[in-house]
Amino acid sequence: MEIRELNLAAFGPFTDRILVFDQEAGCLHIVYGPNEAGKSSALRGLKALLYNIDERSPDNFIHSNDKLRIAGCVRTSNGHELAFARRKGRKNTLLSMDGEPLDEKALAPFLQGVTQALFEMHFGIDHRALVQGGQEILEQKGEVGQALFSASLGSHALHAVLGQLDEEADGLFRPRGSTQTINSALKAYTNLNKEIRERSLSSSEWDEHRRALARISKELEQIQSELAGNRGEVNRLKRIQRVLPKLARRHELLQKREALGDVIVLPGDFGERRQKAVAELETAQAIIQKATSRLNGLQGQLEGLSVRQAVLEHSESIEALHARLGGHRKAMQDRPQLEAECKQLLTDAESLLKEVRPGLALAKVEVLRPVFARRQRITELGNQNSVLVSRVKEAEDYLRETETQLKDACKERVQLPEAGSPEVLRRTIVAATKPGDVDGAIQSTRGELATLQELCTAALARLTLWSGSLEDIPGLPVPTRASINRFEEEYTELDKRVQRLRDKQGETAEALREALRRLDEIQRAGAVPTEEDLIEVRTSREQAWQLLRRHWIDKEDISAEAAVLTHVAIDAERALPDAYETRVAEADQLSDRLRREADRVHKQASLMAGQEEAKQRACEITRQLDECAAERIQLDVDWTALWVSCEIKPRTPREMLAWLENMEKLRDRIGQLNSLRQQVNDLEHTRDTHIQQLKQQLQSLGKEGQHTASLEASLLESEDAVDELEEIKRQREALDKEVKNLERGLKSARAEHQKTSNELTTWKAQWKEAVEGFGLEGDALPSEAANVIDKLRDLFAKQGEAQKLMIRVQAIDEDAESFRDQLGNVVASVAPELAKLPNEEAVVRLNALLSESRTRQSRRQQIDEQIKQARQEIHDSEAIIQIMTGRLDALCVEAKRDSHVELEEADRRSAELLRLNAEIGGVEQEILEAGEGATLVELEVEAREVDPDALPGHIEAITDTIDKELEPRRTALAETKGRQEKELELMDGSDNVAALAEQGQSVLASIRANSERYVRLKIAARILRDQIERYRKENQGPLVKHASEHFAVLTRGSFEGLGTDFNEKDEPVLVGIRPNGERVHVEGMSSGTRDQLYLALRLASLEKYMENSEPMPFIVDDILVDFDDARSEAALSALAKLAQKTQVILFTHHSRVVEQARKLGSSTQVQEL
Amino acid sequence: MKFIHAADIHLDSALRGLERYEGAPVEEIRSATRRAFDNLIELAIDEEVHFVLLAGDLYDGDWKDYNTGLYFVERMGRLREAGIRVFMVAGNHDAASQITKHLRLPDNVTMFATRTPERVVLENLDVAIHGQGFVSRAVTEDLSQAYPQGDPQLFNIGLLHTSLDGRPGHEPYAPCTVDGLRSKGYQYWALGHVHKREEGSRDPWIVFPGNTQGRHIRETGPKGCTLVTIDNGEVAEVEHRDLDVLRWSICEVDVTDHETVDDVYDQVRGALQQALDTAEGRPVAARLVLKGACAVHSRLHAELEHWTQEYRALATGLGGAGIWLEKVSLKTQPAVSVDDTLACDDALGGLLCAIRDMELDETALAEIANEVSDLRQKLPAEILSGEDRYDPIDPQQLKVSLEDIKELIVNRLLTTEHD
Repeated sequence: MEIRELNLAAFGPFTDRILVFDQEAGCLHIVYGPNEAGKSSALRGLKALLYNIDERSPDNFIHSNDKLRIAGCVRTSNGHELAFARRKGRKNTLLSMDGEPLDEKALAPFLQGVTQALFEMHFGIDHRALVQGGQEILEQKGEVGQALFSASLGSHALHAVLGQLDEEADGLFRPRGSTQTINSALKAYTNLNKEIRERSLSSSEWDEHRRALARISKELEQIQSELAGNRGEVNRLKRIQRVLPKLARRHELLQKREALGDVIVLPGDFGERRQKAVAELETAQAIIQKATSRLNGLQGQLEGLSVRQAVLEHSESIEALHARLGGHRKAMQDRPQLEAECKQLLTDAESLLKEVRPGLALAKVEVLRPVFARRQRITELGNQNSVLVSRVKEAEDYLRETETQLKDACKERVQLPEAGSPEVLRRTIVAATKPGDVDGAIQSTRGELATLQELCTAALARLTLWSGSLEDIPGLPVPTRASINRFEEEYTELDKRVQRLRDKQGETAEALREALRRLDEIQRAGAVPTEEDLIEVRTSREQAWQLLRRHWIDKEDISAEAAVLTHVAIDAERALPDAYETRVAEADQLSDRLRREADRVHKQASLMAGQEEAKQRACEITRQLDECAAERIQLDVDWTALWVSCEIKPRTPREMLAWLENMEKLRDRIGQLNSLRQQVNDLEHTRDTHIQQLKQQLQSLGKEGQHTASLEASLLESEDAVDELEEIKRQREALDKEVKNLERGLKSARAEHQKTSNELTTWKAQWKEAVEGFGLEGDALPSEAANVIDKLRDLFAKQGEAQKLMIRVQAIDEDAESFRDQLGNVVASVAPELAKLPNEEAVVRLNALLSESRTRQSRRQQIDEQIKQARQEIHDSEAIIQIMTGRLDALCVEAKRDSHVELEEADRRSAELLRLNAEIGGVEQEILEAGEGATLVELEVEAREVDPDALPGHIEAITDTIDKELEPRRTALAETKGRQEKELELMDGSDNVAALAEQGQSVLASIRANSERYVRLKIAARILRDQIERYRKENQGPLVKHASEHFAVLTRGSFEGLGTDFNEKDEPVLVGIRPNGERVHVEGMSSGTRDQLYLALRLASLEKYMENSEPMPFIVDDILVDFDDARSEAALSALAKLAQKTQVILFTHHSRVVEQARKLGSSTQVQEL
Repeated sequence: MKFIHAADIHLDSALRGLERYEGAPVEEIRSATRRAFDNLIELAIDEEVHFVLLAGDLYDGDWKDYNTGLYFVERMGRLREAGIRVFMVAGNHDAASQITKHLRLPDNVTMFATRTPERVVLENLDVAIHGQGFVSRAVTEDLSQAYPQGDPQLFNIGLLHTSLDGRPGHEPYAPCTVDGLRSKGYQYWALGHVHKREEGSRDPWIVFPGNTQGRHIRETGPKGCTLVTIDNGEVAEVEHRDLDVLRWSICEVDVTDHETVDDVYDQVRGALQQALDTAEGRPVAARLVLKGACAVHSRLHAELEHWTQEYRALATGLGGAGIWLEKVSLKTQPAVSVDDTLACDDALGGLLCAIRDMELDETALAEIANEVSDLRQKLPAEILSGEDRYDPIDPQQLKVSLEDIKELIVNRLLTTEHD
């Protein structure tokens, strides 16, 4: 198939852009589109026409998705044509030219089953694919099979595909692996099965446990019953042991009761009642006896005790006198001292008064009291005075100070100079500092410039072959490095060729000499017969025979001819037979020798042929050497011509390369020199501009700048100016503020001064008023007033004290008078005998008399009371005696006894009987309690059956059996039973093992799935390798041969072709063959050469494909970008050659490719997008 | 009067073929056969049936864990409490089972003898039940022949484990014929052994109830028991009741003419959703079968693992009771066949031709099988044998894989990027 027309009707940047690929046979089609002309869109459009517009196509930026259209016309090699269109969509995207949907199968005869992916890979190549193809060859290490297979497919990742397949398979399974997916799953499966086996509960195991449990349960029951029997016996014996002593005690008590005989059982309280009655009777009798004797004694005491009644009647008066006696004595002692004190006080008061108011008598002192009452007010005013005076003083000082400060501030303010705003200057400074240290930069750049200038001058001086100035160098039309390299290669190539030819010439000359030597050897051993000799003899023989025959049969005259033949002049006819015979013999002889000496003959012939060939070869070599010489001359001419424009007579290309390098270095330096110069100019310009601006600003602020070329100095100067201006501004603001504050302070100071002065005036008026009457002037000091007040206070205090003392002396005298009167009255009526005694003694005697009378009176009253009590006791006891006698009589009746005396015996007997009965009851109760439910009779019977002495031993024996034998056995059995029950409990019908089995099935499923995957990967790798090998075997010869031709062309003869070699694993690998026969492995090729090798293989594969299949267009996308001009041309010519077999469409961005292609001649058609 | 007829319970038989993966409903399907049997017990109690018939294969033959038997006894105890009797015969699996031999059954369970047919008459119900179990794993004679003739006064039931006249996929044990069974004059033949529900006849009723829980992909669809109602000595109603807790389903998706894998994905989603909906709230174990000629054939085959994972993730995302995607089976064909048109003498054409030829060449298959013989040696017998067996060196199975292998190679060759 070929594409006849591609109409990008609405696709990418195109609208109705038609590309027509002319039918002319063997035409290379080039579609040229510079960047952004839509080369990639066109390429996509071409593929989309055949296969569908990609769902994520980026070509919808002008035409919307539903409007995208591509149309075209394709044609098969047998002339079948189809015109159709393509729209974007999922279904029915193929359309007829009328826009009707077309079955996709309509394209089948054209596409020949080539899918899109296959088409892109097989029949398309772009720069990336080329490079990766070259890389792939390197990775395959030139392995022939893989290289050919890759190239046939157009693939550039065959090695990676094989690697991935192996890697994935290895990840799944390895025969001796353990961590791979399948290996580890197999292990898990085995482990699960083991666990299932181990954890499965078998039927027999279950049965065993169940049976064991039944057996143990039965045994346990038996032992438990035995244990119960033994424990019962021990219990019974212990009971008997407990009951035995109690039974004996009961027996004893019963005997005692019998011995007591018949007894009247008296009520329980009989004894008590009897004893109580007897005791009370006896007590009453004793009381009567004691009371009677006490009564007699008391009456005797009463009679001997008399009392003075009058004293008792005046007891209150006597006591009152006695009480006043102490006070009376004290007053009499104090009186003289009080009188003396009073006199002293009055004297002191009088002297004080004289100090205060000299003319005034003490009696009239009271007139001063109202004045003294004002002392508080005076003290307060006096205190205020000092405060007021100091405040007035402070206010005055402050006022004066403020006024002075204000005056100073105003003066300072007026002295400050005026100043303008520094803002603009500051901005200018910022602008000037932005570029950094310009001065430094200028300095350093100038330094560099000078250094470089020196370097350049020195380099120019060293530069040979050419003389000129530094300025001429940048424009000097020196040839390119590539051109020199080309000449270098060509010279080298030529030298090598000449060398090879010279070598061959030497070899040929040697071969010729050798052949001559051996020929000489053979001929020295005797002449060697030759075929020519034989033919000659035979011809001569035949002539002789013909002459003989003519002479003999036809009778012809042959003498003349015979003479010639025989070299005999006379009678030649006679000599002819001899001659003939000789000839026959000679021929036979020669023939025999030829046969006999065949070896020598042959050797000589071959040596002669070799000699001939060597001669020819020598001629050919000489011719080629001549050619080389001609080429050399031509090359020299070209080489010299290359340098004409620079007026240089070139030396060898290698030297010129070094020269060019120096020149280029110099040129680069001159470039740097210029750029540095420019840099210095720029920097200086910047600096001057900034200095100028700064100066202007300073002038506008009234400052004259210095004349300096340094930007830094200007900047410093400007910054100082700015600082200065700012300082003035700050000072002015501070002074304004201060003046304002001071003015405010002055105002308030004046007000304060006024206020305090007023207060002082007010105080003075008040003071004058307060001290009036003190005998002081109005301007008297507060301290003087305070002194007067203190003295007055003292005076009034002393006067008051004297008055109090006079009142006390008067009261003492009155008291003494009333005491004497009262005493006289009492003595007269009670004890006249005391009237002669002094007052104080009489009072004391009276008081003693009163105390004695009172004691006697009280004693008489006590005795009266005791007599009364004794009489009452006697009376009460007589009543009790009567009642108790009655009670004892009643008890005699109850006890059926005659006298009170017998009652005690009756009571004792009755009590004994009751006590025995109670004790018997208690013992019986104890026996029944210890008997655990058995009756007395049963217990007595039981006790009788036992030997009490054997009991403890018996009990111990049974207890031993229980503790040491039965109980341990029971415990062990119970434990065993518990274990069995627990085991059985675990066998609970759970699905744990079933769950493991389920897990096992899951693992099995995963093993299976992964195995299938492994098999696919493993076999895929195997088949692929087999097929690579098959393909190599079948195609290696022709493919390598064709690729070899392409390779030679593509490398422009750098390689003569391709061959195969074997690597260390004995696998066939591709090698490039140099013209000198050197074999270069792919690892030794440059990457560009490998790319060309890949291209050569691709071209050869495509040619092979075309031999047997419907051709498909080969789409080439800018593969030549890395090729140099020569190889690019070579590649284009290779593509043009392929175009003779199938359509080749080359898309390119590069006009160079177009130019080169046009040089190829009429077999190229270029279309520009 | 009502009774339940069930068979082939295969207690604790593990579900097969379910490879675990992230998001698979593992817990939902645990102990499926037990939970299905629990459903049977519950149904019997709820429906107040008079008795339950179990027609063989209660256990899996080679299953040895006695806990399974203990579980069964415990469940029988529940029926006993509800006053429900159980009649059962041993099937081929039970005959092989160690559990059957040792287990003591509660007194409400009657296990029929294996030497001769037995007959139990339920006086109060006017029902006679006849049965004989398998004495050994393989019983090849017609057991039904020896069954006694039915009593015309009673409702006669025959309990028998049989393959009837042969069923594919089932061993031909205790063969018999519908006519043979009919000749006994019974009203209901309760059969077991065939795992798919089937009514062999309606006069008399000859019924395979199918198994109670599907255990692998060949046991698809609803599974359960048959609930039979008897009125006046005649069968009034025969009704299938679902018991399964997990449903097996084959989801076939026709992807003919699908242009993109996204189209296929959408259709797969629909098919899986439908399977989930059909299962009435149960989890589903599904096998996805894609078929038809399509443009994505090559991609699907080449990226089988990838798509299996994609569809599994899709199934997980559907929610509901959950889908376990057992396997993705590809039965698609290419829309355009490349191998027919390519010449065999270029690299790709030669490769395709070689694979095509290999399908017919046993020797070549055997040769490439050597590549995987190491793996085969390590595979467990469970994989290499049985109905679902997978033998990597089996030429037939290799032949089936060849299509996948071909697409795998071609796809890798055409899409792998040089790294």
